[in-house]
Amino acid sequence: MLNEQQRRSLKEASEWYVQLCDSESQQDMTQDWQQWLAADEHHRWAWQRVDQMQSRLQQTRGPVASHTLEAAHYQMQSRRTLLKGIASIAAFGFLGFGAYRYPQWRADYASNTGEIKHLTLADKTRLTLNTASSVNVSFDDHQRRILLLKGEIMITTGHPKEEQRPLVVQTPHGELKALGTRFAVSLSDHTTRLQVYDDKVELTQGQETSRWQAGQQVIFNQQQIVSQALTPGNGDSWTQGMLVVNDQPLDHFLQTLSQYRRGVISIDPTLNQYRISGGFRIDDTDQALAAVVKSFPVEVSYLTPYWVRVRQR
Amino acid sequence: MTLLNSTQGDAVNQLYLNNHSWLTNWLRARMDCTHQAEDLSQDTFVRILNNEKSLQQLVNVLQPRSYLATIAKRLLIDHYRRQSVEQAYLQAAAQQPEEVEISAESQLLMIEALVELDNMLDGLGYKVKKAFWLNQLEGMPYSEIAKQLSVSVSSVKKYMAKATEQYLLFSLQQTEFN
Repeated sequence: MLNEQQRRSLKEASEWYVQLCDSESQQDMTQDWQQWLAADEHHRWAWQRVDQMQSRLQQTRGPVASHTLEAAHYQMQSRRTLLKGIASIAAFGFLGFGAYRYPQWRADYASNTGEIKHLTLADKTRLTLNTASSVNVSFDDHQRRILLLKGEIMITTGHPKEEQRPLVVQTPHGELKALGTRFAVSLSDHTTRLQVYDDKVELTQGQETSRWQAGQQVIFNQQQIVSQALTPGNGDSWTQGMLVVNDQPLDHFLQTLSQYRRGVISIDPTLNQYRISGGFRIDDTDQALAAVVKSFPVEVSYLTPYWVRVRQR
Repeated sequence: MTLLNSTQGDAVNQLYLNNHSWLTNWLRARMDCTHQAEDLSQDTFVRILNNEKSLQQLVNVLQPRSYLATIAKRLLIDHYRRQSVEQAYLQAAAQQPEEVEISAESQLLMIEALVELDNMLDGLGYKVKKAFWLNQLEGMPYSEIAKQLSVSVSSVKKYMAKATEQYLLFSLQQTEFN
């Protein structure tokens, strides 16, 4: 439950957010807002929620999103009339959303935002953690199991001669068994993505199994499996501390970049008209942003070091 | 999975046997598709079994059927919400110029994110939602939104604050449930 102070801070944070989103405002509110932020730890706590909202919203920017929600609104409206007796209840996922979350501090291995961590496990398997990722590792007599809790990992299996135990990566959406191989597994809220770089990987979900080979990428959850060809070249460049892109829409690139950076990058959706190619160092995202400003008609404004806006000039 | 002692385990078994077909029928009366009603009924039990708090509640509650129905209702709304958003998204995406290519991955992630956003704004009035969508998703300035909704700019700001506050509250509640 929230206490009175938290509730009030959320209300105030909402009001500040509305002011800061006012692109027509003549006054620069930044200083006043920063004073508010500095005044109380509850204010900072509330603003963290705003930051998180921002970064979630970033994934849905654009007219397609608002048209979708508008159409869905009308459809639900008419459905609710049909579903008599089912009043409008605040029916956000409740038990539905990720019953599987794990406190970060209990993870065996974890990387910070912007950090790429290289590990070698007891069986010589090499495990690389992408930014803000965590895993639990349990090896016993029968199997070598890696539980992906958050983020993305690259696995290059070790092959000691006597090793008989299967190597399995587990996510909430399924189990992936290595069949002598190099592959990356990435977890988001509702899906898992597998990218196979060498040999094969077997996916098991309940009773169903399927095999995927080098050059394939699969995105799955309990409801569906979508497979596609892996874009050749650079998907694994993050293991080398680089972000290498080829003709990628600029807004996508910035979204990826923001995963390596503390705080939020707020991105103008119209930036999808530009395409970017090149290699950028993961450990210096400021430099990458500077390169973007040089090459495209965009401006970067720092509301705070943790909240950066990239907009069309 | 929650661990139960054997008495609780028996109680849950009994509850399942007594109520599973009742719940399936209850859902069937409210859905077009028999298969989906069965899935959703199963899903209702699975969710309860996976969550210790709900399980205790089910075992202790005097009228388990009304508790089951409450949870099934929410799942049903979730189900329809997802369906509505999915359909609407595929339609909206189909109307985009063809040169904009959206990968299957982005589509999937987009739908998930939209369902979540729709959840967070659930129960708010149309104008409140619309103001939030136009500003946050399309970057439309407040004065233009005001024109489009035929309201004053200060109303738009009120709508925005209301939607933002609900979003923040709901997102907190969501983490609490996990």
